[in-house]
Amino acid sequence: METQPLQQPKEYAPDILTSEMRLAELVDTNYMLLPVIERLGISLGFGEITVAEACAKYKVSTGFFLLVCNIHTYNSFMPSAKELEAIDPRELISYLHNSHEYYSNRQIPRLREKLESLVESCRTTQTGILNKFMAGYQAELFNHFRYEEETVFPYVNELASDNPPKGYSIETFEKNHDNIEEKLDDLKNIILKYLPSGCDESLRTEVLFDLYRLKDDLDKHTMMENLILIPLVSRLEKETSAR
Amino acid sequence: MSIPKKYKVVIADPSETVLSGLKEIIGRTDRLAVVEATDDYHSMRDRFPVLAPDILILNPSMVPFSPYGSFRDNGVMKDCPVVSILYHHLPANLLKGFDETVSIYDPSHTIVTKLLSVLERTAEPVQNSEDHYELTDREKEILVSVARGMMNKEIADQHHISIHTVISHRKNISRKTGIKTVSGLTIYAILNGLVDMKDIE
Repeated sequence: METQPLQQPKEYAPDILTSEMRLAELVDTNYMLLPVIERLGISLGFGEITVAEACAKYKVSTGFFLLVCNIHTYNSFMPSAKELEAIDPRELISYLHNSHEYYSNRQIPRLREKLESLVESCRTTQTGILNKFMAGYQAELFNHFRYEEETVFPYVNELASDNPPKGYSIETFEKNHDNIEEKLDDLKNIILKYLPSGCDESLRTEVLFDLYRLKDDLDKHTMMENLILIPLVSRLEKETSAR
Repeated sequence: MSIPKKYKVVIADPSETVLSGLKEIIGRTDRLAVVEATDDYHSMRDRFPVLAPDILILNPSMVPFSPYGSFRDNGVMKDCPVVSILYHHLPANLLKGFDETVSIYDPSHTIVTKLLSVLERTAEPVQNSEDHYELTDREKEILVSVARGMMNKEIADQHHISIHTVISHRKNISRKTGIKTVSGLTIYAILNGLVDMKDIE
């Protein structure tokens, strides 16, 4: 099987990622799906099973699985109204929640640790402020996660329950991610362009790789919220008020 | 190569002699065109949106008495760079809100150079142009103020420039460095030795 080059924004086609393909093939097509599969609750070491078989085994709906994989693979992907309608809100919330855990407990602490070692390897003392910057970024990001975990997700779960609340709408929902994204971008640019030479170069490369990867992953996470969660909530709100 | 843009200039001054002189000097360069030279401040202000100048040369004595610099705060002149024309020295607070100052004793080429440099530094960044990515000295000064935690208004006051000019400097700084947030710019300033760590807290 031929693997496709990564990170080239390819045009979405519905027949590339399918439920009949083997899970291993899917990962070969886009290895950035590895953490996605993990967050969907599917373990590696899946042998030759197909996407449909894996979904049945781990109780993930195939439609949702493919939807998430398509979002993470194609920049041009737009879910159809039919696909949106088929989503189980609780499945979506659970995925978003797992993603938050993944960033909070693994990606960010690991990046922070590597950045600290990188800063330590530099000869100048001024680079210490980078750790402070990273701490500030982390606080802002976690704050945003907390808001979603404590306010948005319970609200969506309630809307999707048998007894949804009436006449209440979450207006502050479409929160601005701009500043958080800008900070990550700034950190990348500072390390790429302005950190003086003389720091541990291999660490620097690693940190940069992690930063690019985190940025791409978080961009997709934002897309999931904008393309799926927000339309879903407005649909549920409409259904509730129509009752 | 693209044809350089011809900038529209409006001049407001009570002296007909000065108006004619400035018109003559500015007319010598093909980068600038005087679209209006008037001794009537109010009618000039009323027609400002129609005149739509790229730069205004204004005698501070024509500005109705009001808090210094307030003629820029709102209304039609908010986004247009304004240069003062002086017959004699004036204290800095009277020149609040102006982006640059020229004197009637300035050599003619100095006046033209000053006008063009105001236009260049307030111009919107040109995309994909092969311009230099080094920060100018002025941009470095603004960056230091940003790193010290100053607001746009404070920076404008300190450097005797308009808020509009401050914003345009900040845009250019971010475009050149790729750094957008204040905390990111602070790190840039520290790593480049423009400010000291102890100045920040």
